[in-house]
Amino acid sequence: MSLDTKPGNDPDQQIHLTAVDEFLAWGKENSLFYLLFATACCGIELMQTGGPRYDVDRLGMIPRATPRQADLMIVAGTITHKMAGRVRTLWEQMTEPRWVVSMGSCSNSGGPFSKWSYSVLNGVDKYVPVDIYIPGCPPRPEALIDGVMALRERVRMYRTFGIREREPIVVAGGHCDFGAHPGKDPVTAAKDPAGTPTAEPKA
Amino acid sequence: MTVEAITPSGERMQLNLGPQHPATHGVLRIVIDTDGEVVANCTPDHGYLHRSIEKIGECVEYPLFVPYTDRVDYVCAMNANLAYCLAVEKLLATDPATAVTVPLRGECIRVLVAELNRISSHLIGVGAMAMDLGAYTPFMHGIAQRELVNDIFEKLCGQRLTYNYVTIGGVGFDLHPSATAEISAFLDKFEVEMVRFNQLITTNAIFRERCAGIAPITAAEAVAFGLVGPNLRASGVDWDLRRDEPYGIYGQLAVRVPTGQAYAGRHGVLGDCYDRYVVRLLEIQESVRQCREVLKILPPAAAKANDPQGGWQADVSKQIRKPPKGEVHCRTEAPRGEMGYYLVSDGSKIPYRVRVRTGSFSAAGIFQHVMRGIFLADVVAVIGSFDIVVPEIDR
Amino acid sequence: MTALLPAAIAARVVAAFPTVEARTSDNGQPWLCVPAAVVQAAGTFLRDQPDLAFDSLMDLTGYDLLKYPASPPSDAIAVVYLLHSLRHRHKVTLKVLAARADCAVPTAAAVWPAAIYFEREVWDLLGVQFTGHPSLHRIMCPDDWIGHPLRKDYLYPSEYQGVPHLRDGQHFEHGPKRAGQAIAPATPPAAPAPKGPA
Repeated sequence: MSLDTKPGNDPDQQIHLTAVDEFLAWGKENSLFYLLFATACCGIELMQTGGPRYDVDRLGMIPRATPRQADLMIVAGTITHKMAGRVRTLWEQMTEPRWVVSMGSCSNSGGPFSKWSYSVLNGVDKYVPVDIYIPGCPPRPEALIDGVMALRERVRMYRTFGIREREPIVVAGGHCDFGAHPGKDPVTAAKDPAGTPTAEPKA
Repeated sequence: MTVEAITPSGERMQLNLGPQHPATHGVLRIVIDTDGEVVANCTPDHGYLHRSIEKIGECVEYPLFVPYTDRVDYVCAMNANLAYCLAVEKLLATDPATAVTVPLRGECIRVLVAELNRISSHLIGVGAMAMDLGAYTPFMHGIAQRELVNDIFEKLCGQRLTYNYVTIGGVGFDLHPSATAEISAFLDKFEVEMVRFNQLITTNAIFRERCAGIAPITAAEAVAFGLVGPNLRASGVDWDLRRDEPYGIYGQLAVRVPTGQAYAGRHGVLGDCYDRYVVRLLEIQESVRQCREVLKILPPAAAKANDPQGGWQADVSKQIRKPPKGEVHCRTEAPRGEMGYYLVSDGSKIPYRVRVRTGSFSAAGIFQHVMRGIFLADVVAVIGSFDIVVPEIDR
Repeated sequence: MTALLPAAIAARVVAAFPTVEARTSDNGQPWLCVPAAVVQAAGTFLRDQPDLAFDSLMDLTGYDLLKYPASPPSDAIAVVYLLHSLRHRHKVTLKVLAARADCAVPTAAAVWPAAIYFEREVWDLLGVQFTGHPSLHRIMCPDDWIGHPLRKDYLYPSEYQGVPHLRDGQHFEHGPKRAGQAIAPATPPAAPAPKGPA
């Protein structure tokens, strides 16, 4: 099974499920369970967003403690080199379809620590493919919800048999350079830069 | 119950708690060796959030380090800012030529925001402890109250979490015109909410039974292991830097210091998890009272920022570029305990060494000692009762 | 509860341990220079003497003297012990100047258990071996990290486990020196690197 297409369906042999797929996508969009994964300061804003005032629960988003039950990983907080392997393990444990939102400057590109820190990973997109980048230090809960709404647009376009949109986007008026392999699994793309899109992530 | 008292079942297992786990207050990893349901040994594994903040302190100028102090303890960022700024001011004061006098209004604002932030920090501490034990609602109440404090801070300095507000020589901006009224209104409403919060969780029999008698720490152990702050006071040691080594205008305030007294009643032991929880609640009450006192003695605003009475920031731009060569140690009472800065200066505008000593680091240091012989289910109660934030441990 | 002045504390310690020297920092802060060999005995003395009673280890840290402008310049690693007495409310600062080459200091963990974690951090970040420590391994950096970051001659790594540290096209004009990188890049970045998110 490849990262971009599902088995048995070449681009010119798509099975259109129409209403069933739209129903499934509507269901996915309105029940994105996110992995309760908060590293640093952005984690507090994530908690505040899940709190009574900003309340992502009304969007159907409930935190799950285990990656097996999560659709979405919001990487909230600084990722250090020591933690990076664990982030990759958590991402690999999530079942498809899965999305990654990079919340905050630290996980976008290292943030305030990118220049002088020896231990901070300059961007979580070196280890996991990111769909949405939310700038901020920390981003306001409104910015996080803005990112979630942008992700919901993408989830609504998800089709069970089809090619999935992988181009990352930045919300809230920010800018980010997407690194060497935008939209691809960075670990496998780094090993195979010529980049066959069917590169498989190692289990 | 200790693991020696029960016959070893021989069912040894090694469990991994974290680094991603809803109950570890951040990325903390503990490897637990269990004998059945009882913890035989636990080995914490730190460094998952080591952001080399102390090294950054050797690379950026003194004022530019203040935002990094926010990230050392983001739950109580005002106190973290304050600790560093006081240390730098103490360094400047070792040479009369560079000494700084913070205006009185600036000092009052510092204490005001520090105590407000102590309230919101303790709300996270006690709320997260309750959430770890399965009670989700009190945490939501705490978050809702914290939002009100965030609103005040956002009007004050534009940020909700990492403020960069307390600066060397004072505070960044004066209070906005409606600040004192808003803070008074918040404190009044907050006291009513805390009554409800206590009815919800503090007097809850299940919560009390889960915390009573778990991991008691004697006063001698607490001092020997370097515990500070509410963790130390819960073990019965009557020590609070705001009263015993006062800084700012704390010397003018009546600082009452709650200590542990086996609050859990029948099953309670001095220095257990319930004591650490109750000491934080009592500190919230004390902070409310101190905020009200400060609002009474707050001098009226002056037009100029460096006015000695009504100003809010002294001008330190010259002193910061050439501080005295040497060292200083300065500590303040942050919500998680003493935050001690050891600064070494080589006379240039960039510090030579910035050392941050935090309360959570010592709390992590005692994990291995207190977690032997408790049930696995009590591990989360213990971690929650210490109110650690991992960036304080890892920096 | 009688707080002693720093001079009095220094006199007591020097009387008991003649190899200890009382010194002052460049801005007048008093400290005691303790040779590594007597640091455990001195610590026990400071903790157990009833009129000293330094039961609280406020901090155990260190710093590298390599680039400190002193005369004569030194390349030692200073291990700093900041002690406080809860009973008498006085403080003292001890420093052990460990030689850079053979950096070993006896552990203070037997005197103050708080030192267990502090010493692990000093080992990790400054490379001071604490002999007799129950579990001296890295605490902040990953176990396979090379080097001791807080040393002044530390060279930042350019990658960790195969993943380069900087992002593609990311270049810091006055950033830290990294292993394997020239000080000025051989080819300047093609376009000005877009600024990262605020």
